Amino acid sequence: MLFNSIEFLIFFPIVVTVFFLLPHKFRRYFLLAASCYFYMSFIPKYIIILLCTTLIDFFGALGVERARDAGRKKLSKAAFLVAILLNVGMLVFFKYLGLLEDTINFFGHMIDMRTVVLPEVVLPIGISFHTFQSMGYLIDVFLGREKAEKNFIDFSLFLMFFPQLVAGPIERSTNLFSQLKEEHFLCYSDISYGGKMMLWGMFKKVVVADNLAILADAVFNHVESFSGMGLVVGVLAFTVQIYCDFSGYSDIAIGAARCMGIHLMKNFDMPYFSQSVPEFWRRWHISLSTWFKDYVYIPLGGNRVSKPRWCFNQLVTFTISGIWHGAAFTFVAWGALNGIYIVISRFLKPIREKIKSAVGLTPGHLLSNTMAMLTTFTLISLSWVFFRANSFADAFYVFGNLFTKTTYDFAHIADFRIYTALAVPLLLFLVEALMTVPQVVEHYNARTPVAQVVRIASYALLLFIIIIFGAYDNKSFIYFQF
Amino acid sequence: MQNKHELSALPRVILKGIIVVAIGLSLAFGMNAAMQHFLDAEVEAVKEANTRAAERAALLEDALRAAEGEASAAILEAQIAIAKREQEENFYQRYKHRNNYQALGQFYEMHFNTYSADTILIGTSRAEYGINPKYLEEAMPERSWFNFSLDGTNPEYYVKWWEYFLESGYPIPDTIVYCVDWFMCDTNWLWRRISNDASPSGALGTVLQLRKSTSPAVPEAPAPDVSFDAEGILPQEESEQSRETEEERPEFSLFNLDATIDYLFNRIPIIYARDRIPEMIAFYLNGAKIALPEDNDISDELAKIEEMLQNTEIPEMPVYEHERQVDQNGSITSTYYKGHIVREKNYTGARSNRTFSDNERQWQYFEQLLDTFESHGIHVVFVEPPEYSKGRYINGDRNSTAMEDCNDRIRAIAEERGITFLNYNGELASAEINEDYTKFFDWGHLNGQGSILFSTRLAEDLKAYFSTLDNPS
Repeated sequence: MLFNSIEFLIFFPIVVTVFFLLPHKFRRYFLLAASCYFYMSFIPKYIIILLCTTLIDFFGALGVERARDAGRKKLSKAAFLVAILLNVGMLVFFKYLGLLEDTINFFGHMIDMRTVVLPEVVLPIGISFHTFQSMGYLIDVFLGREKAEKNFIDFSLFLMFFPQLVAGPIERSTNLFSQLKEEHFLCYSDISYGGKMMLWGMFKKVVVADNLAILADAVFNHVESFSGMGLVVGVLAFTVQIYCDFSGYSDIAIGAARCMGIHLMKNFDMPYFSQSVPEFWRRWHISLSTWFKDYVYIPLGGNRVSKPRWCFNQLVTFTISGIWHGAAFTFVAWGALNGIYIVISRFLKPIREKIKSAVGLTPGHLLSNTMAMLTTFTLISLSWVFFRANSFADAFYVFGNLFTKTTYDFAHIADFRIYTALAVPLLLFLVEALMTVPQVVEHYNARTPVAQVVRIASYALLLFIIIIFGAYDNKSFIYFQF
Repeated sequence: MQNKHELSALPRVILKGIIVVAIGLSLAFGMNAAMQHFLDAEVEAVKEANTRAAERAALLEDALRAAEGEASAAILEAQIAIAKREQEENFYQRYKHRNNYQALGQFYEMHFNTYSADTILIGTSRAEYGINPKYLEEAMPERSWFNFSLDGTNPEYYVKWWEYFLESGYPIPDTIVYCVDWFMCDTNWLWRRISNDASPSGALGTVLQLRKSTSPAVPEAPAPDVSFDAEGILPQEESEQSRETEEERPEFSLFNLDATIDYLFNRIPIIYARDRIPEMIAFYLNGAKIALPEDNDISDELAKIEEMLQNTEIPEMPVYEHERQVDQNGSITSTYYKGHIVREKNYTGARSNRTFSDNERQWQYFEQLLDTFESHGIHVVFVEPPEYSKGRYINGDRNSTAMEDCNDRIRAIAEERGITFLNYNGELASAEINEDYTKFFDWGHLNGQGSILFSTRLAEDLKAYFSTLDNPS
């Protein structure tokens, strides 16, 4: 079931109520059962895949730790490699088989090789997320940062905890294990915060993202009908859509977990207000970025290496990130482009500082900050073209026609939808901008009667906006393809 | 550190939640009431216009009965046809902004009978987009054509649709061109529901509301009893089930969330008519009034008829040019013609996978439908519109024979009943259409260019077929 569905609206209050009614010792079993039910509501038989991952990593981690404790380092390493390979193998089989087939045939046809036909497999929901979550755990156990979990139920719950099961945040065992084991009590602040996060996440997803999707899809599914500002609208629409879609989902996940007293990690920190591409990647999909930093970038040497090697590390990390996002070479290009941005950003930084000081723009100057923000936003928006385009040809068409004469064809979209799609991002921007002003936040959260009335009115208005302006075509979250 | 539940906070949480939901829902219900009022006012305005048109038509009919001489009768008949055509045009202008206008147009024809078609087409979206009656009537002007094909229809749908058809009073056609599809009995694929169409927000429901007129010329059409007679249908065998039939899946059920949500969303105006919020706002800014057509006054109609009869020329049918209008699905509303509509989408010929699962009960409905047509003395022809031959595989299998197997079954039924089966994916397939993806907007649906090509070809084949019927050798 999707978060923006009636099923979840019924499922979630029941789960929270039963969770708090149950004695603590039974809660883990109940949560695990609820999480299994949640996952099976998509494709029931794919619970077997999740179970396989759970078994591989549970016993794999135990084997790694026991072998290491017994002084058998080679066996420990072998167990670790086998478990990792099995995880990666499952990911490749379910997610990248089609890409593999296309790649083999692309090169095979050059040498007149027969067409290779690999089996078609339906992508299990959230496989990239839970695989990375469990691989992170395995790596932590192998490196001795984490002790192997000995209770299968606790481990299963760590992997399958339903709020973050299918689209993150990708949690670390150090954060989640202890929380899932400790007893949680019904707490007003948790329920209040969790409810607000879920409402706000629903607004971002159902109202902003799904309405912008109508514009973005219109452009990217028929790029040849657009040019100039028509393409700019499409690119900007997708830029905001992907943020709201994914951060909205994360907000709902974080809010849902918080209602039960569990604190999931923050996954987005207003990334489009970033003033540089490196800053953007510290604020966007934080759980995945930190995963790649800790398990790919740092093992490669991080930034404690020569400059050429650092460049290589960044490019490899971001290219792999691109591959993780999608089984198509356009995603690889997107990842690589962001890697190039990071590399160039570092080399240009001294030049930027010199220019700024030459024109009298001190750090923190409003104009300097605004320009930096706009530049970063533009670069990131352009990189999203590769992410969203259906092919390289489409992507290059967009780049080549962004600054030509404007043509567009939104005739099939109702005016109401267009107005909504253009207006709600402004509302979103306004609210998020206000939330960066401490005085506004302080007044909004005050315990005064006026502030209470304002809060209740704002929640009610948000609910009204979701009901009236939400797009209810059950569109899956963008990141569900992962 | 907290070590017990904050039960004292529970009432506060619940109370706040109730207040938030109550305020939010109140705002939504308020807007819903405003939308309902707007929609009612719109229906009243169209009914008003229709009533005038019906009264005008009644006067013309009276004049026709009293007419002396063939010339006068011919003029009056032409004028009646023109009046109906104008009425249809008014309907188009009022509803052209709606999604899937073709469904509205078809149910309008069913209940207001502009064309009195004696040859109708039924089938799925492949016939809806693929067959343009204009080319059929050019080849066979002695017949009057109308395309009643709709997306997502299966045999069960048409069994129930037929009940509404009979109740509408539309003349029984002498020929039905049944545009079969090899996958027509897969209810995961085709699951249109007449109950949704008949809901207040549905195309049929909208037209039925229009028929509730005070004019005696347009009697109120009662909702037919579509409770299904199960006697003619074999009990469902225990076999792998695809999506349930409409009978198996009730319109509303507390235990079936999908059905419940569909039911609710189709009945809450602010949800199903949300796209019309700007029109609603304009309505209230205009003093909550909808302007009626200018020629709404028929007090001088008799004088106009007298004047018309002074002429000897038979008036010509008006031809309306429509500004390009596209709906949210990409269907070009302005191309609508007698049930057919064009859709354009960029299709690169990429192969996609479809899952397929037959529903045996749909085959039983299919046979029942054919029995029904036979009992009315209707002549039936099967036509399977072409699909792009390299556009899809079934259940992941590039060599699937599902299409051939289903078509064999259709062929067997056709042979048993003496029905001709024109299969444009089999013996009548052509490289010009079936192997050219530029004629399609996806693997199974012809685009504008493809529908012209196919309709022209089908017209020739049907013409040859009908001529053998008329002149059996």
